Amino acid sequence: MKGSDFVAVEKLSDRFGAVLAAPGASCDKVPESSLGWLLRDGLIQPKPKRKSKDRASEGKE
Amino acid sequence: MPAVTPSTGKFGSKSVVFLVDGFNMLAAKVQNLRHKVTNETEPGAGLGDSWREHSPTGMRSVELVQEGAFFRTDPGNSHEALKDSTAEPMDPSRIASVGFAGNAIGQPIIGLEGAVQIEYEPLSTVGVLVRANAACKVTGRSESGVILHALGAETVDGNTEGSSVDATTVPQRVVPITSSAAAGDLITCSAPHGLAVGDTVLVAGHSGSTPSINGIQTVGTVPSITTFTITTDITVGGTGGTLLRAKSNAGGSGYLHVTDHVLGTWTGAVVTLRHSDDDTTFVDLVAFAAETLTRHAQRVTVAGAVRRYIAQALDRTGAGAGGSITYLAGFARN
Repeated sequence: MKGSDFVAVEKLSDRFGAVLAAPGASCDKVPESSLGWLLRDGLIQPKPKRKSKDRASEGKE
Repeated sequence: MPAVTPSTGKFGSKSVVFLVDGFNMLAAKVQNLRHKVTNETEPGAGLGDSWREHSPTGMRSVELVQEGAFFRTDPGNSHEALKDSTAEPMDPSRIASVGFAGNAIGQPIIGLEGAVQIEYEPLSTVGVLVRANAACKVTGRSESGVILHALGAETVDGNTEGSSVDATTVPQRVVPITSSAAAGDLITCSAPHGLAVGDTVLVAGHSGSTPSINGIQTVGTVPSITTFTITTDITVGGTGGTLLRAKSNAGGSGYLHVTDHVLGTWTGAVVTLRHSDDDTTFVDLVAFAAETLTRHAQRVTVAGAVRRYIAQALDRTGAGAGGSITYLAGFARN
């Protein structure tokens, strides 16, 4: 799991008070070790997957 | 993380914190300080009984008392808060926090909210001091918590996440473990554990199990008051050890007492309690309303998860400079 795969549901900060991710922002700065409990408790969620080009073109036909 | 030391024989009157609605109520030279919780009863005797009987009602009451103490008469101190309250025996709801074991992060504190009936008996006056007996009888509940920001002044924004309070290091009931079993990943305790689904516990001293269950474990189910299952797959059972609750799922109450507040050019101050499962990444737990008053107190309740580590943060609002805020923040788990 990488932080960049998730967006924050709530404001996340580190133990020095620095904001790691605002609500809706990417969790790039969130330590990987924290992702498990944050995901389990709904405090982060996976980024919505973008449609692949193929599926997008299928939709146009 | 601050370690909490046993208080017996180690703390005196200088270690006491006694705040009511942001007033520092601690008197000087207190002869007796009492936090008394009473289980109320009603007479249960009837015709033919030769001895009085009392049956418990299930109700409790709480009382805070300072006896034979000197109360300061300067603004913002105890005499100012106490002397007018006698005109109105049942004041509107008040918020009180009392600590007996020191004004420091991680030390225990008792929080109360409810209508407070204050009995104030001035005995004599010496300079700015009035010697009196003062009793606060609270119509409300008493909660046990910990200090997250010791009563003191801050002139800049900041937080205590670097010295967060670990739930497993504050005084709490230690539950002895009898055994763990592979069947159902069941833990059996020799006393009621008080746990709920989703809580986490810190297990120590357990031996013989595969894998070792010492460390943090998550409660899966709670079949009875003395048994629970964990989400770890136990293949060989073990015996012994103890557990402490780390994360709870029953909410709690945040307490904030502002005893002095000079805004400077700021528009307010926001104190937030924050919590974490791993002491690395924190999320908001309690957001107190912005403080603008010189003296004020808040109690805010939250439901749901209260994680293992708790800290507080101060953020002034607006674009300002100068000013200071003197406050105490604490949290009591349900």
